[in-house]
Amino acid sequence: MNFVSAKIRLFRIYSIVLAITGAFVLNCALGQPVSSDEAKTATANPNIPGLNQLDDSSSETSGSRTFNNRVDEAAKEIVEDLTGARSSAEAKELIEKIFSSEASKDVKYQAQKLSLRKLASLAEEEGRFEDAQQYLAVYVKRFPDDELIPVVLLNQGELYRKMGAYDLERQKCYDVIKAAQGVELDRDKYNLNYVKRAVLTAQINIAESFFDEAKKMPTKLAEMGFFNSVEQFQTLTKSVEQFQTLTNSVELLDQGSEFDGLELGELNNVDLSLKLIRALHELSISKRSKLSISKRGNKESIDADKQEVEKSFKEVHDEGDRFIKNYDAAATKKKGEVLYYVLHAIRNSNVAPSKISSELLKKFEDLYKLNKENDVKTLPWILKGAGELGQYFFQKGKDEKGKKDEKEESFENAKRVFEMHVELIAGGKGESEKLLEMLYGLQYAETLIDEKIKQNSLYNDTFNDVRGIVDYVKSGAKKIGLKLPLLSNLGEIGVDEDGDGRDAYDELLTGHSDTNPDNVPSRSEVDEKVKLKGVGNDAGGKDANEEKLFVTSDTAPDGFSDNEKLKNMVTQSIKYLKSQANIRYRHILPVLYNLGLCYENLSNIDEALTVFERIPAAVVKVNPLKGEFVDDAIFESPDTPLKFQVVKLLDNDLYPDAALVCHLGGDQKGGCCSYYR
Amino acid sequence: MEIKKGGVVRTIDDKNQIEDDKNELEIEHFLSLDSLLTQKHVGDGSLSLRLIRDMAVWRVNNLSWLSEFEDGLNDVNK
Repeated sequence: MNFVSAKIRLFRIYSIVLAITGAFVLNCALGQPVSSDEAKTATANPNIPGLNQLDDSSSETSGSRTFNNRVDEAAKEIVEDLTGARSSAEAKELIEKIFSSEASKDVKYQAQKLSLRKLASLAEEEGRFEDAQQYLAVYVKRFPDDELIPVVLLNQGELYRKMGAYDLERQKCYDVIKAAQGVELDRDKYNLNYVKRAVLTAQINIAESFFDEAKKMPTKLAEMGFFNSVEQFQTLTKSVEQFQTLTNSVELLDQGSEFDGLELGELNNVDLSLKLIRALHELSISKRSKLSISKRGNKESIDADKQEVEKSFKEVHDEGDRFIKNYDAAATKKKGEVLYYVLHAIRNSNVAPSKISSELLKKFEDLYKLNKENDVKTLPWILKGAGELGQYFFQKGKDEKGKKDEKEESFENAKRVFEMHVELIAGGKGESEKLLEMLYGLQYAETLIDEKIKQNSLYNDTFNDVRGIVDYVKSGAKKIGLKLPLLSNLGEIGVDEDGDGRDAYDELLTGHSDTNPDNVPSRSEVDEKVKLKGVGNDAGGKDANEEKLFVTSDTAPDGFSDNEKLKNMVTQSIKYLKSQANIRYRHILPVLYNLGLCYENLSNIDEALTVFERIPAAVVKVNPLKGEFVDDAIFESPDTPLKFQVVKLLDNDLYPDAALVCHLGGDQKGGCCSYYR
Repeated sequence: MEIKKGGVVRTIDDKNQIEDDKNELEIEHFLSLDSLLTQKHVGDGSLSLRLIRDMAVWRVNNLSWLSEFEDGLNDVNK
């Protein structure tokens, strides 16, 4: 706590220093260089000399009314440009133009407000939060009765949150609530709804601020923060419902609104409810964490604390159920997140053990079904839920003592969840080795292309040789949600529709058009994209570009460079597939192992073997010297520790003499046989 | 020990097969997951993956032996 107070004090001192420098920057930006003494009084005294000078427009005494109007119109146009300025430098230039013009006092007054807000928003975008804070502070000092003050204060609060000063943020939010009461209402956009929205947004920000601050604390110390956040969100949910009843306009809340360049974000029940559930979830975890300490210390109060924790998790469960029931149309990722919290809460609540399994499985199936939406942001929630639930059932199975049926039921449930988990990552039942097979397919295709390059074959012959493999890999990748875009453009190779000497593949790669002969990519542009340099095709020590230069046009058949392009596409796809295989196998292997253990505990030895064999998976291509590959046969090297068992023979038409094997011994390091060749 | 292209492997599962009748294959290409299990950085998870791989191999060998043992036991009991 002392540390926090010291931090705040330091921050306040820092703010004063910034106030001085900020005002100086502001005055300079407005084209009014001021001395540092004047800058020091900038925030304390709203009558900044530089700005006052700007207010004293000489336009009142100059020329005719028509001339004044023209000048004002020109100044307003610059103000318009200022609204769209993309950098501080650009904004400052425009501001200087406005204030050095002969525009009227009124135009300059409005421009001052916009300038400060614009400079603040640009500073925020550029990550200069202190500067942004300073511009807004000047705004609040100079225009205390402005109707935008509540939104400006909200903006200041949000800046404080970004700076990690949560208590200052909350202070600003309370200022918003106070300031909103003083806004002079009109019948246009600054009406009663505007005030209510500003107040509601401030209240939401207070709740979020408590939550964000608590999230940064150690779990055991965060309880109070989460408790405050929950309390705020609960009050807010009711307030928003009342607000909707009063205004009878849900749309008003669902859409963010803009007030002269400042935004009031969305306020809707779905988000509020989700935030409440999130806060309840964190609060429950924090309480449980505290319980684990009291277990070690004071045993007498355990029961009361335990009940408190169970009650807290029950609230998450109830709120989650309500969310799912009321907001069926909510975004998939939001439903996924809520279902995950519900699953977590059920596991920690005091539901009867006999009921808990079926309820958990039902909720998990609901969560699993969301995967059909193919939303990448939902998948992490499903995977997290699957991993934790599988472990929960597995542990339960291990912990059950003497109750054979319950033990079996738990392992059966764990098996079911782990199987679904593998399917989520691998794309289908028993498909965990599919990625390895696809990777082998492309490597094999690469070998075939190399042979064709050596033989100077025509592109069509080469392409026909690998077409089957490429199509097979492409469709396999699609099934598990991977895209291999380079393999989709094979038809573009060798097709030159506009006759400019570059085929559709080159043009596509470099962003040119194959229907416009004047739009031709240069050789170097193509080479850069194709990245042929350094991609050696053979062991000749020359890279593909050098070899291409070496082969004269008289000796090289037409299809030669097209074959290299094809090889490049395959090489790039291999690289991508390898990175994906790395990621996916890291997730799959532990789950597969747990799945195997479940089968083992269920005394299903054959299934357990099938699963365990998929972990040390490999693909082997052989040259049969005597006999051939046989399903389930075990092979061993007479002079090295290599030993493997054939698990599945691969399609002989696509991959002759190749099989998926379980690698039972021997290392593969480097050289032609390793994973990374 | 590295697995080299051109290495030869033979079947070992058929006990009745005499040495000369064993299938003999020359390895042309070997693609495995082992690079995932090679530690590049401390704490990158490779160690636990390698452990999982080794435990899986141990279990395959163990369960295969158990399966054969039970088959043999059943034959004796017949």
